Amino acid sequence: MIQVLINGLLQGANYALLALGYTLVFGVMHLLTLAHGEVFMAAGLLALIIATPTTPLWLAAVIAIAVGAVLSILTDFVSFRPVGYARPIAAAVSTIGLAILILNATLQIRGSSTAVAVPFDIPRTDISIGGTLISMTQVVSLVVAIVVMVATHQFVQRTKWGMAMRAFAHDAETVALLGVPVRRLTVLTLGIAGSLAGLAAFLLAMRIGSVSPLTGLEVGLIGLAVMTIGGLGSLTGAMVAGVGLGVIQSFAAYYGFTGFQAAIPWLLLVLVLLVRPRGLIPTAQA
Amino acid sequence: MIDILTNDALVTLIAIHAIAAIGMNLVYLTGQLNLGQAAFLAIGAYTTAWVDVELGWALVPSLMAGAVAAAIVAFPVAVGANRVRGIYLIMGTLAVGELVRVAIGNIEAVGARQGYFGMEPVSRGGVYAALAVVLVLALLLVASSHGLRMRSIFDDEDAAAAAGVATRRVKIAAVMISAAVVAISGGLLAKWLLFIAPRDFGVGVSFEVALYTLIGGVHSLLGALVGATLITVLIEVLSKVPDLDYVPSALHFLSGWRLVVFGALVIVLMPALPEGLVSRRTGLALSAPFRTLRRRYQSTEEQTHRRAGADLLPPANTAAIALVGITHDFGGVRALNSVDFSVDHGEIVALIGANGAGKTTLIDVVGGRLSCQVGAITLLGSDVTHWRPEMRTRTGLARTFQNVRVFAHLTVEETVRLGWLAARPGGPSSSDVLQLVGLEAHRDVLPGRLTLSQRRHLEIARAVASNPVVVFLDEPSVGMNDDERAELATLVRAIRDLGVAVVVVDHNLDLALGVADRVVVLDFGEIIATGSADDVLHDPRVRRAYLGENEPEEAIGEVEA
Repeated sequence: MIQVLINGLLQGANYALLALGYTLVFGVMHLLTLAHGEVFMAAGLLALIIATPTTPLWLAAVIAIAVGAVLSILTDFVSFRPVGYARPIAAAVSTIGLAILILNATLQIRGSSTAVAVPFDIPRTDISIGGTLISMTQVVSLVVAIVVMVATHQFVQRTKWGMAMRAFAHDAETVALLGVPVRRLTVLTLGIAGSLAGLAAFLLAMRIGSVSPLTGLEVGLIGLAVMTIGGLGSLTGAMVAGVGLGVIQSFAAYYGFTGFQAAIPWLLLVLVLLVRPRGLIPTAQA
Repeated sequence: MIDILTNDALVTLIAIHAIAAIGMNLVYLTGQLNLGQAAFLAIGAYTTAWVDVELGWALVPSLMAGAVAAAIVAFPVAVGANRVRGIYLIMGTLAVGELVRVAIGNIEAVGARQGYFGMEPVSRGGVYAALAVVLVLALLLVASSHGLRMRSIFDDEDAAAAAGVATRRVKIAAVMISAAVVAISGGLLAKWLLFIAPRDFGVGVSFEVALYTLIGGVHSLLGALVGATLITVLIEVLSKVPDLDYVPSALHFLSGWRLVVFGALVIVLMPALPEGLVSRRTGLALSAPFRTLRRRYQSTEEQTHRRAGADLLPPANTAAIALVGITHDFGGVRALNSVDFSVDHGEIVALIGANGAGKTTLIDVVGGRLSCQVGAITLLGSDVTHWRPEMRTRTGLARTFQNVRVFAHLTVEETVRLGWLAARPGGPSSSDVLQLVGLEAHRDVLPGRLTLSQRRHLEIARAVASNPVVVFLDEPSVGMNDDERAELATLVRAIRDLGVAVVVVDHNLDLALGVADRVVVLDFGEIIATGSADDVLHDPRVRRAYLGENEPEEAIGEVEA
């Protein structure tokens, strides 16, 4: 049972890290990036391709995070800036184009849609929690995910740049007039979002041992659903909704609801939209 | 190249995609970006296939069955969609798309995840006939009064409601009609491919259908056709590149990379043509030949409507509008405090007050944009306190907005006609109104080409065209020069002479006091004075609250509050 819970928490942390990225971008720039799922996939895949059996774990993680950040920042230059921040629909459509491009370029370069396995050994030490043996890697992953999420939240709430991000969300023009380097701000926002996606991809690889080129389409969309369930622009909402969804899915699988497991995030989304149309934790701006 | 384009199979596929694009267009026209069309494509495909395989239905009834099934499923979706806007709507529709796909994957009767087959193939002629029928019906719909109402919502839902459009009903109908059309495309697809599986209806398909419209352009049905054709041809032609002798082998890789090229194309097109390939202006040019015909039809319709109201007289002894005890709080702030105020037929009232006095809040409560918390509103003797905005408009209450809200994609003539569609019988025709506001020379122009003053006149024309009992003008002279202001004053009097009561809210005292029969002064949500311009200007409370006690009279003029 504890194992089911841990699996759910890990899966949920994965969703939450992705949703945090979506919600950062949406919260700050009021734009939807539909390429985020593919950024997540490409970061994980590329890290596993670059890594060799002797690559230390931390280095592989750094590669995944770096690739995620770079690709995410690319979204700004390829989609958002050319279209303009004032055209949310056209910008979102452009990111659909980018998503199609990243996914299919990956498939063509790889030559197939088979998953890439982790080339290095994943440590297999177990620790005992309440009599159940739990993999040390899973515990560490969970701790890392939680620490990073809390740190992101604190960064946005407490630091000077975080304040600039929140101010930009409120009134982009005034923030520019106040002398905040707006272009660096959008790059920073997308960079953080991409790093979180890269970390999520690395943790996914550590958990299931591989990354599939098709994972971005599936998990990326679920991250989007999680953002909406949590409340647009709400960092706390994204974390709560992500972890909650992961745990629910994990227990649903445990009790044998496998046929409809893929429907759970979307059912939750529809329910939340009907009952609380602005998400679990609504923000003023959404 | 030519051999691929004349390939019958490709043309048939384009036709099937074009039907889906038309369906997508019909819903996005009301501003609702549905990213779950794969759901309705799937419902259409599976229903058509099932009644074909299991019940042996013929082509037309089986397609109709799919369309009806999709429309039924679309109803709750449409009602839910009405509660949310923007990204929430996009996410909600994405969810529907995924849920339908998962559900079908669990229905054994249609093969679950393994897929479903055994349907009778459709002939090419059948596909083309279906496209022709759908296209003609869609063209008629978009050109109709209902189409005009749909398009107004795309630009500005609040302003559409103020113009008398039942936005809720129009949007729900649009989702259902769109679902039915998309389902016909799905049904044809099933009978064309002869094998369908849940994986054929993933989110990628929803995106593709949306891209037909977004790339082609939503403001003309031609856009849907262009978008569907372009995308289908691009992908199909690229996939055949290695078979073409005249393409150098160095380019053969394009076949595998066709979707990459497609993605890149989307990225390149969106900044260049954010409205899509076929812009509203092109659409206007295309419909130009039909303008005279349409005008003749509309003018007959409007004359009949006018005659129908010839015997209607305003009921004696009732005020045009009466407000009793209107109180409105925003959180803890009281914006309006027990406001009593009535306007007689054919009277011009100036409602003045400093910034934050509650003028716009009052108009929003009266117009129904804000719900009335305390108090009652009686319009022409009927209690309209809790009516929806569009019902108030249709009963004779019109308003304009402080920050001009005209419809960016409706021509001047269409905007006035939209107002007229909500008119009580007996009022002026839309061409009379155009003449009244002096915009008849600009009737085929989009508001983007008008000056600020002209756009204000357009908004007033839209309000007057609804043959109102009373019209509220929210700061109509902001940003106007003296000449334009004088013109506006003449217009306000002309509207009054039609028998309409006019309430002018304005910072500019010259205009407000110059035209008003009566002046009402609001301060901190309360009426502090009412009377003739002279009385009010000499009222000590007004001087204190609004003008500053010891200001010399010469300072009265443009008061920047």
